[in-house]
Amino acid sequence: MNSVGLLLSGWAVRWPALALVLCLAAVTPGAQAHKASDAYLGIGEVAAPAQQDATVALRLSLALKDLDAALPTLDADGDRRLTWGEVRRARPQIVRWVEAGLTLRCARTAVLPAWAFEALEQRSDGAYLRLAARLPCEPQAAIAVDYRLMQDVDPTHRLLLQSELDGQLGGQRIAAVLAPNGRSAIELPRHAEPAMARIDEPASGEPAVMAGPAAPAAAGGGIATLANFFFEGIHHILSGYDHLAFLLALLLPISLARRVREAGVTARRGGLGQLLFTITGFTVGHSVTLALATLGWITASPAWVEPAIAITIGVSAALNLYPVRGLRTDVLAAGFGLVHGLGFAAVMTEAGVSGPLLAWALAGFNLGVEAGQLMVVAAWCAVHLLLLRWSHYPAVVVRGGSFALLLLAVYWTIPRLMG
Amino acid sequence: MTPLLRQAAAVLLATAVMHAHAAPRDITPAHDSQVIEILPERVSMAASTPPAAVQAARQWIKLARQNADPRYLGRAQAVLARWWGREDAPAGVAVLQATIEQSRHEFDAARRTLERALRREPAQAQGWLTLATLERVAGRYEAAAAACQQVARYGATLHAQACLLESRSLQGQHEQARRGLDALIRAAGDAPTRAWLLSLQAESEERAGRDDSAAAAYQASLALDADGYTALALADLWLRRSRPEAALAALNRQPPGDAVLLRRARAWQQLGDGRWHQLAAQLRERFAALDERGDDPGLHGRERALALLWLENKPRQAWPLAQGNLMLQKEPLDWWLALQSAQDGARAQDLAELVQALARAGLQDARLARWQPGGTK
Repeated sequence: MNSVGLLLSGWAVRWPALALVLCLAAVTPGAQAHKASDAYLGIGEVAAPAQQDATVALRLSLALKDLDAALPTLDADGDRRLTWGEVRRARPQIVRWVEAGLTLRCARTAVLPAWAFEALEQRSDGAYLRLAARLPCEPQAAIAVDYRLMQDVDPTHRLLLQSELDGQLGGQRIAAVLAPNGRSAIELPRHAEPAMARIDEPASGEPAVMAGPAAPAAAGGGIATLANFFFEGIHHILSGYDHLAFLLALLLPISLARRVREAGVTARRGGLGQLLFTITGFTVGHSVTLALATLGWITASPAWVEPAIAITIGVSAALNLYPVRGLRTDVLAAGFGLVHGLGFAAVMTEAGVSGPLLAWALAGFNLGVEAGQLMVVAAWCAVHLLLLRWSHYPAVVVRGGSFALLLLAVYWTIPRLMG
Repeated sequence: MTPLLRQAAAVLLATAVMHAHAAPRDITPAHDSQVIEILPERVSMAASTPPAAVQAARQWIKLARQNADPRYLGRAQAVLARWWGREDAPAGVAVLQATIEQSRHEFDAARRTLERALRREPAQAQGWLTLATLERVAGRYEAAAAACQQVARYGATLHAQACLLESRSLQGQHEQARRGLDALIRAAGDAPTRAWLLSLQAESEERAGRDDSAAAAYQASLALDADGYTALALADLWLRRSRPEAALAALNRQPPGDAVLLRRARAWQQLGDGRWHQLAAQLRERFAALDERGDDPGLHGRERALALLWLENKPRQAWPLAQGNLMLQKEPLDWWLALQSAQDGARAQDLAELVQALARAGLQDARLARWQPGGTK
């Protein structure tokens, strides 16, 4: 009776709320809101390393909420509002914690990579801190990862290990899940021929581990590189919302109808000709700077390229609303294309390609961008032809769309300028 | 061209352009004092005695609920680690383990944990109450009532009565439940208990087909305690009655868990607000993130199936998920989801079997009336 009495006296204050937790959590979809704690490790081959033995690139993303639980001093002033200053000052401490809990081996020899802060990033469940490192491994040497971070803090924590998009490891795509309290280790062979990743220590837990052959990357040399970067280019333009917005700003005023000239609507050249000239202009513009920047003949800082890209969208949209006589769209597209090319080049620079494969990569990427662009143009043409006969088309689609793009460009420009 | 149309067109275009925003996005802080993340209150991670561990685990569970963030369930598990899954764990600790398991929809594991603990130490009113919930969710109303009797036996009379009335109401004794819960509500002293009883009353009234009375009870409950489960139930009622603004208002103070996002998307869809596309994309992204970490998709079947049925109008794809979800949990919403998916997906045979299973289960609910004998809706 006594223990029940104690329990019930507890109920008077806390239990009803907790009784709710207990009774309803079972039936609460909200309790199953999102996902448990994850960290992400990207691992990829450095295509042409500056030093012969730094052949593997690593990127580790850790949730700040998890770091807070593991490192009680992260929130230095204890106000539970984590500022950039607090994170910045704790970086050395975070790196030491990572070094203690993440063990890496090249060909069975322990190596200690120099982790450096790379960026903060927003994911679907909160803010993350990203560290990057180069792993001093001989080419072809197998890599072993043993992950014990968060072991005491959260037994359901997982590390999601993935090969980076552009630098598959030893020609294979890897996706594995490591559990600090269970299968915490994995060995990744780096043969040119596809092989299965091997898992050590099947202790407990039930992490899913998959590793298998990917596109024939390493073997084919130039052609394989071209193919890889071709898809990278398509992906980049289709997921690069600012390039799409710019393209849309260029396309909006063009009318494929024989004779649609309404007051207040800019039909500068009109028809298919204008479409071809404008798209060609953009292509020539961005291809030139993409090539120059990738080959290292010119350099540009993202600090001005990123806001400049946003400004090109705004200017193009504004010109749709308030046309300037005598200004040729194709010339404008080519000029602004120069800026966008510098943005594309950042992808190539990040991929770290150099040496004999660079020309293949550049060609593949550029062709991919053009292919993606053609898809967008085709999609726009289809929508355009469908809506063309609608009497409100010029007002809603052309002017309304341009206005929306202008707002969007302003919205993008300001933080980019501040950042 | 009306301004409204123009605005709608602009929103649509802007949405289309920003749609591709999927991968992690870099944050560039402008200055040292910029807040990057809001952290939860500090809770001890190093509890060495069972009472301290129980206290800390309860706080983590509360945080998981308040923030709709399952990450804190892992922390709760960590503070119970010394006793987790052990035969000789103190009963209070085992009850919390079962709570964490059921919060992750691991209902079988939760039942095993509870039964083991209650065999050794039956004097655990909270344990029996949790077991009753598990039995109700599994659709075993008699077993639930038996567990409620045990709650009474170990002294928690009010909770036992509410527990029994809820089981009876599910079996169609709405009038009895209404009178009983009314009496309990009048007698209940503190706000959290009243809020809980009012939410039971609301659900019972909704099953009885009295939506106005149900909505009033939900609202009275939420005014006392902004509980997430109650808010979702009220939002569902409004969505069913095509009152999207009221549904959005009900979710106003709730953290953006999957279930909340899903209902907001549904409400915006009913309103014709194009932003629902963004939320739908966000949900798909979240489900993909769950798959990536190797979670069992069946554990999230309810939200996934609802998203397919409500947002994407794909009953054929919703059906296997809804069917799997019904194996896991059998609340009225889960029955509705399976029946509706089978009906819209033109699966006559499956629908007929479901209708029979529903009759066998003995659940009585106005929302399911058209699939029940003598149903009118």
